[in-house]
Amino acid sequence: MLPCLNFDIQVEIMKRLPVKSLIRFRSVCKAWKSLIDSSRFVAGHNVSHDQSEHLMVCYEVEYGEESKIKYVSFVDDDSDSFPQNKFSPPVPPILLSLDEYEIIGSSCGLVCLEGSLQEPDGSSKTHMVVLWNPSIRKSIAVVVPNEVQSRCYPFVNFGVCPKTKDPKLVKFSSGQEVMVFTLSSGKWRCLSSNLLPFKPLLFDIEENLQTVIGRFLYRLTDGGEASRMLSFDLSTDEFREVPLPDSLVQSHLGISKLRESLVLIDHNGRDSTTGIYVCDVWMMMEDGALTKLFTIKDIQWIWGFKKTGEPVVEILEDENSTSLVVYEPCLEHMKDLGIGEKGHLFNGSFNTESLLLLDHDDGRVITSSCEELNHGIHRD
Amino acid sequence: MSKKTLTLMSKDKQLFNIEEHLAVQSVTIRNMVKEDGASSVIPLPRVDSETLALVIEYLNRQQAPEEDEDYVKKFVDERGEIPTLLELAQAALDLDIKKLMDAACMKVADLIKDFTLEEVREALRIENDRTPEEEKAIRDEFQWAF
Repeated sequence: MLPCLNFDIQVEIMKRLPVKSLIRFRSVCKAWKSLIDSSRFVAGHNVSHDQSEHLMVCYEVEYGEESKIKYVSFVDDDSDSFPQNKFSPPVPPILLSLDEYEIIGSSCGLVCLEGSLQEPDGSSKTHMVVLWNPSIRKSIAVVVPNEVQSRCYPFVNFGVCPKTKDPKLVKFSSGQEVMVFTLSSGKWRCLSSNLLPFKPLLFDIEENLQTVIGRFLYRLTDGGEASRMLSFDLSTDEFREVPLPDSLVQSHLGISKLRESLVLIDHNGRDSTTGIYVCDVWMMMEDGALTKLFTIKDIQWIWGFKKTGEPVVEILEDENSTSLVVYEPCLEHMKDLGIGEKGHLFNGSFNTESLLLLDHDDGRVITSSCEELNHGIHRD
Repeated sequence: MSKKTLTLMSKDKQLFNIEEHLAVQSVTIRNMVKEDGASSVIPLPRVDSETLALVIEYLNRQQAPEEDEDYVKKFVDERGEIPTLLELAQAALDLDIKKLMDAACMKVADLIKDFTLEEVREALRIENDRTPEEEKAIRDEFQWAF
């Protein structure tokens, strides 16, 4: 009989297993369960190798008078099989009790959704954010303090600090106050609005305008006359303005990422020969310069990019319906994901897999109030 | 000036020669060379001769840096038997050859990811230290994954 395998090697192998295998392999032996469940392992998992990505799509299916929200997650596995490899995670119960919710963004395996909870007596609404890890089927809800009546959400942005793996929420309010929530503390904390490089007066509520790359959360805002871009450092809580070129500030912009680069989508581009509106897709280089990736016609919105670089695009089928396709820029070819005919598309986002929330009770609601305002000079 | 050669000795006392500049890709060997100027023979009492032959083959590769990632992947792919890979991973861990250790563990993870619990225990020589009732309780926390 061979001797037992060195535990260090077992750990190295575990670090490289996909999430679903780890969830099953908690039952292998006691040592494996305590390692997989440890917060250190949860935070460190999947940092050392290629992560599998998913495209989570939220859509609504109508059954006569009734309608039902569904989710489907496509595995972005580099192969030609996309979009065949998919699964439908069950919707967290807490989401079913919210109305008008939508996906804010995703980061590190968590999908962040925002909506409101109607009190049973109909008197008031509670503004809520749900953090959901579809790979391990766990979710928790966070109550967003005050400004319940405001229709101006989503004001909340979301990202996971890549160093600490601590999920963070950033809330902007009309009073120019900025609040930050960290899951590790379970508390909201005020930052001084003096930390903002400019006053973001308005936020476009129509589209998903955030993306997380590394430790930075990027947010497009409508800073009054023109579009401006804000970055938030998830590890230091610092805001910066990322300058946009003059040619784009008046445009109807979208934001996304391709692998680890920021992508700007200009919906107001004009074809130089025909004058027809087109959508120009720009990638921002490290020095801030923009490179045009391609131009695409007749689309509604770009939802994100596959690892191989093709965008997943929403196109208009007819007056009432849209469908989701993978666009191949070189061939100008579109491949249907087959969701459009099933129902009305909402939104979605690309995400990786992680074990985050494994150490939290499923369905927990965090209702903590805000800490004292201390004008941004916060010492932990 | 001729290149300096080191001699490595496996658990079963077999000797292997390797040029020093290739051997020091192993951080462990590099530190030994630094410390005592690498005396005649470096004993590796935990690595058997079959595994050491593989490690030497890997260290002797002549790859351009940009092809190296693909090479190490292919290298472990061609030795796709779990027991061999585990020996290789253990040797790479002891000798601190990160890329080889990464690739060997990645390959094992890939091979076992869809295994049943019993198959994992057998492949990795792990003893089940729970009663069937205890095991069921743990499974039931994530019943959907099974």
